[in-house]
Formats: sequence, structure tokens, C-alpha cells
Amino acid sequence: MIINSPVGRFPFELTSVKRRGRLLVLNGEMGNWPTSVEIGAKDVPAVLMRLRPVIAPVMGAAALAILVAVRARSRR
Amino acid sequence: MKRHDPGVLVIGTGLTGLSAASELAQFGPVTVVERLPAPGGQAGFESPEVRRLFAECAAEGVRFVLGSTALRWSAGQLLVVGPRLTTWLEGSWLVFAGGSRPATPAEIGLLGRRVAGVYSATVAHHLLEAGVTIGRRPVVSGYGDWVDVILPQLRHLSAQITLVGGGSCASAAPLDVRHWPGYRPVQVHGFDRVNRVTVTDGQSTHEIACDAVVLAGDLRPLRNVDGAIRDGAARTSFIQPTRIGMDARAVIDFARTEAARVHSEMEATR
Amino acid sequence: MGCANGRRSSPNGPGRGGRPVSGDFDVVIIGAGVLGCAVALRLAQADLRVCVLEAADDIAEGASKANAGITSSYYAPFGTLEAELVAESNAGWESLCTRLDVPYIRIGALTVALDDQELSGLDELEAEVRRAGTKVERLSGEQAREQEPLLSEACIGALYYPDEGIVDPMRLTWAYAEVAVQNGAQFFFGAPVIGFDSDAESALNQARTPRGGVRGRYFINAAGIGSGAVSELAGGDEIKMWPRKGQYWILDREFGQTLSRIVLPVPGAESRGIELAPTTNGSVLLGPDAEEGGDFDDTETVAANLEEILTKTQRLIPTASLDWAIKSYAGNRPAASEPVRLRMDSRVSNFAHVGNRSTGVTTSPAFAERVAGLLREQGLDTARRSGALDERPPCRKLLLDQHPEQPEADPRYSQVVCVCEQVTAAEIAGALTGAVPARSIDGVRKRTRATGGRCQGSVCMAGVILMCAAHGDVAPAQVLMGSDGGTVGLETP
Repeated sequence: MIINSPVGRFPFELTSVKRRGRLLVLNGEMGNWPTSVEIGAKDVPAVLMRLRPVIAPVMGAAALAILVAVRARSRR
Repeated sequence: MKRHDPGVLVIGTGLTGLSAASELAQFGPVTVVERLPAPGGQAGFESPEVRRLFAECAAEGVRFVLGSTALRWSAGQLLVVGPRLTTWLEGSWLVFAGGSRPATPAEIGLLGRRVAGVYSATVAHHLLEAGVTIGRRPVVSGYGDWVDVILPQLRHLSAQITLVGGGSCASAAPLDVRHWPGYRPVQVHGFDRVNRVTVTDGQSTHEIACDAVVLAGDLRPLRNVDGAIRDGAARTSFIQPTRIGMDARAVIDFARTEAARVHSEMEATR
Repeated sequence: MGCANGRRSSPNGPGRGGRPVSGDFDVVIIGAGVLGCAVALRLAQADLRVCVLEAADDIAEGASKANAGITSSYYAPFGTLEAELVAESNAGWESLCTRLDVPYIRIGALTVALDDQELSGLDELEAEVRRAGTKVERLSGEQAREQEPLLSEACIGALYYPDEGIVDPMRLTWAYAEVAVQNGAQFFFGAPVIGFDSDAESALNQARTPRGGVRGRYFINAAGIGSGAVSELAGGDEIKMWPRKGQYWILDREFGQTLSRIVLPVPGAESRGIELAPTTNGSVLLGPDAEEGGDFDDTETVAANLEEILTKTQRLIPTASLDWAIKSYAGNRPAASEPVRLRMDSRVSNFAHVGNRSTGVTTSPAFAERVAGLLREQGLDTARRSGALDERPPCRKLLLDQHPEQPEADPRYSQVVCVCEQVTAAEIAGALTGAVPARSIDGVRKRTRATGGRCQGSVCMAGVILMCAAHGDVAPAQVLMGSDGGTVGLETP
């Protein structure tokens, strides 16, 4: 994965995906820095909407399944 | 009995730093420090030359400290600060390959109050990459590498671009760009945002209306490690290409040549 | 020209994004420069409700951000109010700055004579300085060069003031404001005073701004260059204000840290003269010159003035060179028919004037105490409350000479954002949160020096913009550059 930000373009290596309460936490390394991405239920619809055109071809089915699962869990 | 050799410290993992490190690794231990979490410098971590050189260095036993910023070089010790590692590294010599940047307003004699809309090309580049509209009628000052990077990004915004600087036949400005060859900016004007810039060719002076000014010319070496600021700093060498228009091959050759020269200098001072 | 405070309002309007201005206070201070904030802190430490109305979007937007940061030990002749205020302020700087976590160095100053005429000027000056009771030594040229080895060979005599110091004036103003807020003071930004309401005896009872008004028992005019306009709106004494522009060069600390003292010429009739002033971050300022007759908000730098500044300072320190130039800037001192004001108005009974043309930073501690005394005479209880706060914890963890042994618990203290000035993400985050937070790139620069170093943001500006965007919950394009309303990017259509 690549993180492209106003401060630069860096490789992002996912090391684990965990659930912490209602948050999905993607742990990884952005180059040599420990980095995590925390996705909450309220983030998911926005993320999905933005990623819709690229989800299918670019993101793995697994990643999509994770996001859908988080949304489903948050509805319970 | 062999004296303990703490080795050479190289700052920067762009093409220059990696090439220099690879060259110097033939002669002893080398540690390369990079403030960003991934190597690559201006070329970026995905550049094939960067990947190749990085692998070469790793194979030669070069040690990498990524994601820690070098701050101070003093008495054979380099302070590096970063989320993974904060420490003093020992080195017998420092090779600074931290890159270059466009000249600042003070360096080019550009007057005018601190007004929004005036950007160093490095900053403009990052902002444009992030989708920020930095101007619709930008004036870009300079010629060469940074201009070549910035113009296509501005064109993508459908901006009305004015280019100030460069000779009339210098890798000529594209037709969609208003070109003022031989002119340089001398003063920015505006209150909440820049709205015009005074330019001169030494003989006549004109004002160009604009909503952004990008300083993209006149490369200067970056110097940001205390104790390694001036040329001639003790046990320090600087390898920083600032000639406009060097391609990757030219940079790598320059860096290797300079690194060899540095090694000779180090040997001579033993 | 423009609105009451003499400053043009930005096209986005003074009320952009701010909360409504309202409330009942004991003391309303107009102006959040170094004097307004110093007074706000002292009064907030009493059992008083204090508020500060500031026209611009941040503290220290006038002369308080465009001065040399010198804390004088001598400035005006014995017997003047200014001399008293300078003397009262001088001894307490170390203690004050330690408590407020503000960089300060009692660095000492040399007034230098380069010819016989200047030497006799030195005699006169020495007599005045001694009369004022300031510590001073007369030195020969050689002795002067021992104090400051870079001094010109042409120096044939000097006065040495060991008690002269340098402070970071923006950090000082911010610290005064932060601790004032921690003591309960309220600050309203983007709140220029556009009028007052008064009662039958013409005592003021409300100050009005475009976003509402605040009621108060006492009103303090600390509006700097806008003091004349504010006094007029209040029906107070006529105070004629005009800008006295001063331009500066900033030279790199690689050169600046080789200087040992503040170096001044023998003063002329009109001005103290153009000096070399080291700063608390190691750089050195050349300037200021003094020019009157311009616009109230003219802070343009002019080539001819800058050249003269270089020439005059090179007479004193020949190795000063623009090879080391980082930036030039200009500021306007609030010159006035009455340059130092610390008194009640003669027409409006609950209206006080606080102002100082040249030595605002230097005299800020004394102003704070004396204004408390002034209001006590009026019947207000200004005694310090027990439990009043007078310090703030150190925010700058990575100092130039620190030897780091343990990693900080907060990883942001290990994340250097501005390499030139060695500013970490934690320090920038501290500037963006807290009691008087930065709300623009320039606000971050004033509090941390990030983007103000030799590369002028080439390396770190993008990172600082990102942090400002994240903390302000806005897109990078909407981040404000400074108090003038300009943003990082344009609105996308």
C-alpha cells in the first residue's frame, strides 16, 4: 500500500488488523515509522463512498470484506 | 592493533546519499541517516535507481537509520531524533547529502511583506499533489528541475501560468505559458494574498498581476544540521548537486566522484 | 483609512468564525500586544473578571511581533516615566521568564564609538546613564573588543551595560496571554472596538465590536497604533498616533551565535540608532531604522533602507554579511504625541491609557504592576488572589543543548517537523491547542519558530500546514497563513 500525503509518498505495510471496541485498527509500518489507521463505524460510509469507483479493481476482496463487516457489526 | 573506526555517517538517502554511501562502503563502516521513514529523497522510494542503490548498500553492509532527523554534529557525535530512535551516533566523518532547495526570497532579493500565496516550489509541489489549488494566475519564477515539475501540475489546474526567468531559448516555455525570459521578481504586493509581483530585467520594470508566486529557481544546498552548516566545517563534507538539469545518471556519477574525493580527504587527515 | 483601530480589516471580515463578543467584566483591555497581555495577566491574578478585545486574529500582531526583543537597562533619561518603568522591570527578567517558559538571556550591550566626535557623545551618554542609576562601565577600544571580539578595529571606546538582555517577544506575549487565560481572563479575537456606550456622566459602560459588546467597569486602552482612534471613540483625551517604521534583517544563527553582545552606535538626536541584536534563538537582527510619515499598516521592506541598515551595522561589526540573510521585515512602532502613557484619562473617569512607543517589551513587567496600582487608586481591589497562577510548564522539550537519554513518553516529542529550528510535532501541537492557540501558520511560527528558519519552510511548511489542518479540522487549502486572512490555497470553484 502507499500513503500519499502532503508531506510525501511512503510505503505502508500492513502487519495486523484488530478490533478495539467499535474501532477497526490497521497496524502497520509507514516505512520505518509505526503507524496505525483507526476506522470507526461513522467513518465507514464516507470511506466506502469515496472508494467506490476503485474498490473493486484496486483493493483486495479481503479488505472490502473487513470494511463491510465493520459496518454490519456497528449496526447490531 | 586496529583503532576503533566508528565509520562514516551519511545524511540523506536520495540518489546522492545512496551513491555516496555505496562508494564509501568499500573502505569501512557506513551509517546512513534519513529523516523520512522511507529512503529516496527527491527521487522517491519507488524510483528504480533508488531501489537498486538501496539494495546495493544493504548488500555492502551499510547500516540505515530511517525516520530519525539529524540535528547536531559535534566532536564526532551526531544527534538523531526520531520516533523509533533518538540517540547520539558516533562517526569519524560526516557526509551531508541532504539535497537542495529553491532559493528563499531573502536569497534572491525578493522584497515585500510576508503575504499569503508565495510558495517555495517544494511546498507548492506537495500542496498541488494533495489537490490544493494554489493559484489560478500563478507566476512561477526560475527555470530547470523544479519548474519542470511544477508546470505540469499547474497546467492540470487549468491555471494561467506566467513564467519569469530563464533565457529565451532555455528548454523553452510551452506555448500555453506566458514567458518573461531574463526577468526576475523583485517585490511581491498584496494584503491578504499576493496580487502582483514586480519584475525586472535590470533595465525595465513591470508589474504582473497574479494570485500566487512559486519560487522554483536558483537551487541552494539545504543546510540544517548544526555543526555542519558552513563549507569547511570540521570533519564534514557536503555532496549536494545544485546544477540545474542533472538527470539521475549525472547525479549518481557526481556523487560517486565526490565520495571518492571525500575518502581521499579523510585518509589525508588521519 | 479604514476602521477605528487604524488597521484595514481583511476582506473576509473581522468576525470570521469567531464566537460572539459578550459578557460582564470588571476590566476590559483593548489590545492584545505585549502591554495588553502583561496587564491582563496581572489583573486576572486579582479577584477580577478580565477580558481583552483584539482587532486582529491573534496576540502580538502589531509592534509586538516586529521588534528586536531587547530588554533595555537604560533607554530614557533619569526623571522620565520611561526611565522609572525600565528600572522597575529590569531585575526581574530571569525569574519572570523561568516562570513563563520564555527564552531570555542577560547578554549585555555595548554602545560603541568609532571616532572622536562619537567619543565625546559617549561622555554625555555615560553621564546620563549613571544619573539614571543603570549599571554601566566605560571601556577602551581594546576592552570593548574583549567583550565583543567581532567589533570593528575602529572602535576607540565604548559603554558596556551588563544588565541589558534579550527575550523572545512573541513567546513572552503568548505566555502572558496563556497564563492570563488560565487565571480566568477571556480573549476575543477579530473584535475591533467600533464604539462605546457610556452613562450620563460619560463613564464608559460597554465596548462594542461588530460581533457584540462587552460591559465593563474599567476600560484600558492598550491598542498600540490604534490608541488614538480608540480614545476618540471613548470621548477621551486626544492622542495623536502615527507609525514609526523600522526595518530589519535577520541573519542566520550560524553567524549570530558568534556574537557576544548587543552592539549599538552612539545614539543620535533622533533615534537610538541601528544596532546588531542577537536573538534568543541564536540569530541576529540588524536594525531597526526609523522612518515616519507612512501608512498605518505599511510593513513593506524597501531596498534602500535595507542597504543603509547593512552599511551602518557593518561599521560596527565588519563581518556582518547578507550571505547569512534569512529574511527582512518591517514593523511600526506606535509613535505618539505622548509616547509613554500610563494614566487615567482626564475626561472619562473609568478609562485608562497604556502605551509605549519604543520600550513596550522592556517595560511590560512594570506596566503590569503599575496598572494594578492605578486601578487600586480608583477603588478596585487588585490584590493577587491566593492560588493565582503565575507560571506555565515548559513546552520546549528538545533544546539545542539537550542530551536525550530516555525517549519521551509522547512520541511526538521525537518527531522533528521543522529541522532548521529544531521544533517537534509535540511543540507545534502545543501551540495549536492550549489556552491561546495558534490559528494560522504565522501563529505557529510566533509560538515555536517553525517555518522561520533559514530554509523559510522549504522543508517543513507542508508538514506544518498538515498539522494546522488536522487541529483546525479544515482542509489544507483553508488553513490561514497569517492574520491578514490569506489562506494556503484558493477555494475550489
